[in-house]
Amino acid sequence: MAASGTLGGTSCPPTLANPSSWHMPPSPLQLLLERATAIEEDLAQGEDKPFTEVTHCHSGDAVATGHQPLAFLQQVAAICAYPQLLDDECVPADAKRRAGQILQHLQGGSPGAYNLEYVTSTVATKVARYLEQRDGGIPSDPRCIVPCSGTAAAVVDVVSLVVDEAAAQPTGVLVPVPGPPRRGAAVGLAGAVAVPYPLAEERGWAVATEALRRALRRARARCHPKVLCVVNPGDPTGHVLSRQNMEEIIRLAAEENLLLLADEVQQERAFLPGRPFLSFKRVLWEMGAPLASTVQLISFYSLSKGVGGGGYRAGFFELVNIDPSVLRCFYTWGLSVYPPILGQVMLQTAMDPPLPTEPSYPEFEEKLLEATGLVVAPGSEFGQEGGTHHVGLSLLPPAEVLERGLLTLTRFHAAFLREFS
Amino acid sequence: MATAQGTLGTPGPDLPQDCSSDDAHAVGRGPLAVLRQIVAACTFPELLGSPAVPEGAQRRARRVLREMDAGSIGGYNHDHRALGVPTRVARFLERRDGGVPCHPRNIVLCSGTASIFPFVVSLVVDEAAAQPTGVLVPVPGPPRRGAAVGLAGAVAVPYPLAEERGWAVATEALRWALRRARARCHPKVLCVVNPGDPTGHVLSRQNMEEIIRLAAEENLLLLADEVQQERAFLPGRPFLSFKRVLWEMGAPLASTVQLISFYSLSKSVAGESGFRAGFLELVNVEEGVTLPFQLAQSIPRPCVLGRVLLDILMDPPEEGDPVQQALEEHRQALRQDLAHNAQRVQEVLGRAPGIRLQPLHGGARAFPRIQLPPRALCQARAQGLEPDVFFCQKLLEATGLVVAPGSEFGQEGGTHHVGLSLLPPAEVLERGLLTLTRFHAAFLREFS
Repeated sequence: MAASGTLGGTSCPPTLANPSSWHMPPSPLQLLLERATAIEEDLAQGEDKPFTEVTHCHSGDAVATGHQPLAFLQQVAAICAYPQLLDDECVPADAKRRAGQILQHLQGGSPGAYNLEYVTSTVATKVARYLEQRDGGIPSDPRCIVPCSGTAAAVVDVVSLVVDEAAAQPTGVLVPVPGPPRRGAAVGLAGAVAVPYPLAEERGWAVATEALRRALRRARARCHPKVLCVVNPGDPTGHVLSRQNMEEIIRLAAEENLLLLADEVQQERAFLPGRPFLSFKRVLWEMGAPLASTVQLISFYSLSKGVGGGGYRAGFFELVNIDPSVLRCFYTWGLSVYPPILGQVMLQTAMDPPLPTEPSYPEFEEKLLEATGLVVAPGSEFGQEGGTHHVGLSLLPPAEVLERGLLTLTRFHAAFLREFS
Repeated sequence: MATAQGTLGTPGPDLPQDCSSDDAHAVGRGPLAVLRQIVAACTFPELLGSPAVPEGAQRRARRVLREMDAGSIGGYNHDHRALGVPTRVARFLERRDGGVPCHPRNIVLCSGTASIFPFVVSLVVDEAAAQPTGVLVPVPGPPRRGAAVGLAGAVAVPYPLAEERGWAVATEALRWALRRARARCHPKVLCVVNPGDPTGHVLSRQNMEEIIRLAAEENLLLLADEVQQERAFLPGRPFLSFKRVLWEMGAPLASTVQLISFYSLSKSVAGESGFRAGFLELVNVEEGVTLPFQLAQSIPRPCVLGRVLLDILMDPPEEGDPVQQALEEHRQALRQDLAHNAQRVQEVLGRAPGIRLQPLHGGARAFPRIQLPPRALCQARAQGLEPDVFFCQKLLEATGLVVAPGSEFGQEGGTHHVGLSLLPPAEVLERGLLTLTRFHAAFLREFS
């Protein structure tokens, strides 16, 4: 091991550190994963255990569990990175054509330049076209699309916009429990206060507006609630909201004057034909005036949860009923803007899939039919109602791995119950 | 793009010419092919085994993929970010700094300076305190740094660099700024940029020691923006890291002065701004404070490809390795080109009346001071424009040449500068210099 990096050092003068930003203990899942790595090392050393391998059934990382990003996206990105591939036989013609078009829009023909205009103009336009198709023709304005480098930082940016530092009371942001890990921390980083509201487990994890109202009432003692976060499809719940539930949520947001933040990053993982994904934008539009033109909504999409992967750091958010001039803020100080360009190239390509006549089409269609994955993680990673306990199981691993995992989990739980009765 | 023809007798180019940007690829300084070959092979692994990608690049790409979860750069690859790359960064820094020890836990990967800088500052902002936190920032300095300080919830305290000393840091100016600032804030952070942007000044060891001593006396966290370190091109003024200088000053300063240093892929020899990657090095920062960096999941994470490129730059020298060889040639070429361009800029502008340029040691910009006649100042003000913005607009309309107005970077009141990029190909810069000097001469005549 290398010598310590501190220059012979001991502690720093405490006045230079901000105490309130330190307190972020490691998450329970992180600790579990560290232990898992240690166990893997023990197994490698030949230690005797009641099992022969560690089975990862926890991860929401599709690629790490064996789902490769779409080859078409990889090919287009590779050509944009190294345009000499345009002369290579290894790469299909439609990928070359697509990459050739994209290269013309890149500064200096390179994804290595900052390319702000490519992101804000070319990619935003492609995204808008895609959303129009997704939402049955509802118009989408490219000026209201902000390509970004992933949801985590984008949520911080968006929440920062509504935080009023001068106000007497801190800004409150309602977040669902259970919900994506560390969303509360993101809210805190933006200078707001997280206000958890429980999802209704007995109703399949739907959003119960009475629980929302209760959370709001109680929160008003300590903050000024301004934002309502909804996650659809739910993470980690797997619940896809019904249209009726979405309309209730929209009406509540209107009544309580809340900005609706719709985390819709899992939208391509809705796999039950009887419960298709509907975007909040679409449902809002179809509710007609006056709500359709007054309720403010920001919707998030991520390549991490679609046909791409988390490693590219690509996504976008769309502003609905919000003045596009607000976008200028993101491009002057946002944390999430200046997204990596190759990720945006893949996003653009994902928004514009191969045509049925093109060679890459069959693979694309097949990918969309695949089911999503689950992760076994402690429920506290996502939050849960006090007194209840959950685990998060990944649906992503290959079927035989999941079968083994399910068998292991059910057997273990039965034994656990016996042991601790 | 619109065409612009010169109206002051200067033959205009067909397209607006950007001589303002320090974005290497945008101004025509192409990427290093071998890096892109590795990126392509990692992105689309079927290329491994294809003649399209040379053997050296394939070998390096395979090494990358072996370290990836499920052999793919598409996943989050947390271990690569949290441990794999930081370990190799630490080794690189030890080599760079002549053996000064570096621990991987003090390395934090990020996705570029713009997004991590406010986060770093926010860590020292005490929201509960009566007075806001003050952050000293150099003038001139990187654009929008002051705004970034504000975003972090602190107050920017500008301190002027000493133009007459070639843009060195004058500690008396620092002390003066500190004294005045204490009326309205609690200064806690001192930002220094080395090599200077846009000044092109590389700090002398002596100057760095003065800065360190001042930081110690005034109890300031030193934020060293060292992103342009690989663009230092003057052999007589090599880049020295603050960490190295601090270490070599010995106890007690070496183990007490807190320092955070920034490195960026954008300004490295690779110039790959579009991949968004960089890192911070924390020095004498205790674990309780480094923990937020490691745990805060909300800070922008670098994409896998960005980390991969960074990682390749951190590779130790290996005899006969084609990737290393190509990188080294690229490094030399960059230094030579920058040195050549810097020399030409100094020669041409040195002869031009009403233009004064301080010596250039490194970085990608020249920041000449330009004289603007009083009538031009009046007209500018009447239009609600900064005088240098007025000048740059007139220049663009007349000749199609783009240079950055000095107000973009900040400058002493009453002085005017423009920022010129040293990155464009030599012939583009030559034409730009000719255009600029002719236009400025005509401008002086027109507005006298």
